[in-house]
Amino acid sequence: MRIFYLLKKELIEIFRQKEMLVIMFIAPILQTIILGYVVTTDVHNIPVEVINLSKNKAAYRIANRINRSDLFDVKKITNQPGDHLKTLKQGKAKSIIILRDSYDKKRKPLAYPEIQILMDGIDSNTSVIAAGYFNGVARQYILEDMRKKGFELPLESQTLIRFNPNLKSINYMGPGIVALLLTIISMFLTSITLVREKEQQTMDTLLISRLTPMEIYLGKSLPMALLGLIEMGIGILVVILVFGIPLRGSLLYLFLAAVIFLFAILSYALLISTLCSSQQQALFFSWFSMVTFLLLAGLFTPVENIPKGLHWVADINPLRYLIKIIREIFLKGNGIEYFYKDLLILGAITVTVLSLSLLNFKRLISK
Amino acid sequence: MLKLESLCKSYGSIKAVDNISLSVAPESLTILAGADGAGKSTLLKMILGLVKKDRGEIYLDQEPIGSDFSKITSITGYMPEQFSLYTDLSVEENMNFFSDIQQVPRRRREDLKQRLLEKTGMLPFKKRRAGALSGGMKQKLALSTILLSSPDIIILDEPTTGVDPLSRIEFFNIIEDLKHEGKTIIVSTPYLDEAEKGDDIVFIKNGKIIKQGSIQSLKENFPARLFRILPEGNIFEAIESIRADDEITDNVYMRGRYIKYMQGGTAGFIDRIPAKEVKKVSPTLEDIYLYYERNIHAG
Repeated sequence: MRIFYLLKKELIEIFRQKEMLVIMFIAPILQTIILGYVVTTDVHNIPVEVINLSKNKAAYRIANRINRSDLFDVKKITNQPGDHLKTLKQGKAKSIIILRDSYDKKRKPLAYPEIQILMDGIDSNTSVIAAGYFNGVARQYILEDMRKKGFELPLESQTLIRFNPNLKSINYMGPGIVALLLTIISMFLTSITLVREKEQQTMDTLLISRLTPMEIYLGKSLPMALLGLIEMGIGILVVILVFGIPLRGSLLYLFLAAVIFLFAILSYALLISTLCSSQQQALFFSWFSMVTFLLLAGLFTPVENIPKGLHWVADINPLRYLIKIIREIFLKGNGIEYFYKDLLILGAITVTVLSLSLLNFKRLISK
Repeated sequence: MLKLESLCKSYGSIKAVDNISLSVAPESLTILAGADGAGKSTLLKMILGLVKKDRGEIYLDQEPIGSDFSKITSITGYMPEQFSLYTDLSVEENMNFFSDIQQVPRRRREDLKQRLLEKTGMLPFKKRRAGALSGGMKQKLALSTILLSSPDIIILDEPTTGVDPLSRIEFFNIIEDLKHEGKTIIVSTPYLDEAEKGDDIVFIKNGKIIKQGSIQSLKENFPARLFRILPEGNIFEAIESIRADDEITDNVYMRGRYIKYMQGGTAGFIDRIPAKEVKKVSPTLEDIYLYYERNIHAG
């Protein structure tokens, strides 16, 4: 019951801070929209130069296809060779496509040109994707041309993409961003408000008032959890309405996963608050933890890409599990039978981190 | 009622509380006086279990409490050195919150709240946010909140630091009223004029008690003779010439246009000062504190 009084006090304090309310409720909408547009792995408008040194008709057609594609921003099409390295260094183009005549062993011209792709590899991800696009355009042209000429390929693989058929990265990133919002609000605010109690010595007053560390933890974190869930709701609406990402699974499961995740992340917030003695320290610690969680969560790169030595960090990272569950619910429409193990892991993380935090809390209050 | 025995607390090589033993009589006002960093706050927090003791024992009604500090906290109201209420809540909301968590029965809550706010003069400000109160009012509000649970023991850590003189007087009037109502009160303060109001005054330096007693006994047992000297010439020159004499430097200090000299074992210094007037006076608490602070080397 005393938890309820602490919870009520927290909510009054939060709603008294008008600036904070704006940050809490307007910021997530803006963040979701901005991040949704910015945090994308789709590559468009790659600046490119096409140097067509071939007199071949096929070379001309491939160059034309590249020129017409939305994927490329063709800066120049020429039949004059130039200083390619200089062009890449100047950043005028991120890739240079060179089409030359190709010959067989008897120096007889072949039907299709030789294609050389020069890439600026600074942004390795974009380079790999762009190279894939160029190859795709050329391959598609050759396939169509061969079919026209009555040839059939003896072996051809067909790719069927499920859950995100258009491979739109926003479908993949959007639900992840919702998980990110939940982390920001709950971890930052909880660790800061807990440390503020220490800084203002109100923690001593609470403890003398016979509140237990567990009651203080719950009383302080439940309002943040509630706000976090409201923010998540706003984030989900934005993701569905603004980006048109379909929610194929159950909203109930989504919130169930979010609640379990919240207890895990709030346990981390409590741990941070027991390790810090000022709000600045708590802010720094939370920021550092959030960036680590974010980088090892599989939001930007798959968890499998994480080096083996860092796998244990990913294993105790609650955000990783939530992002996975949210994507499964959103895109695959999965039920709890597909992710109950992830929920159990989240529960285990909560119990472990919360026990550690409470032990540390008790140790610190009677230092 | 409350007895501390050989309490010790160190932070690394610093002894914050060094073997302090103290008995606090029921329904009395005990004042812990000393400079900043003397160890007063640490001692008070040790009584409440907010700081873990390295050694020693605390007794409540002759029973050792061991590590069960709830025996003390359940009957104690504690006001930390810093304002420790919620600045975004109003006076009334703070009172309500502490009534709630201290589980003050609902039927007597309103009456109690009203009486406490009246007693501390805070009734007209009950809708005001705590953050908008003056320093003195904040402390009165903090005192009101700890009184909600009707504690037998009240521990106040430097309650008037940074508070204006009038509010300090008002605050101590309330404390004296509480004592007359039968509360056992322990107050730490760096101000000696406040310390005079204590039934038992405990001077603390470097974590040790350097002297303890009632104002009466401290005055009666003052071990030096105190002289008030009006020098003939410039007081600063007189002080300088006195300070050249190593033997007496520690026992001479300036008060307004007078020099005060605490004469211990050796006599004769008085004759060496060209003075318009030399008068033997009885010591104030400030004189007593300075004497022990300078002559007893606590650590």
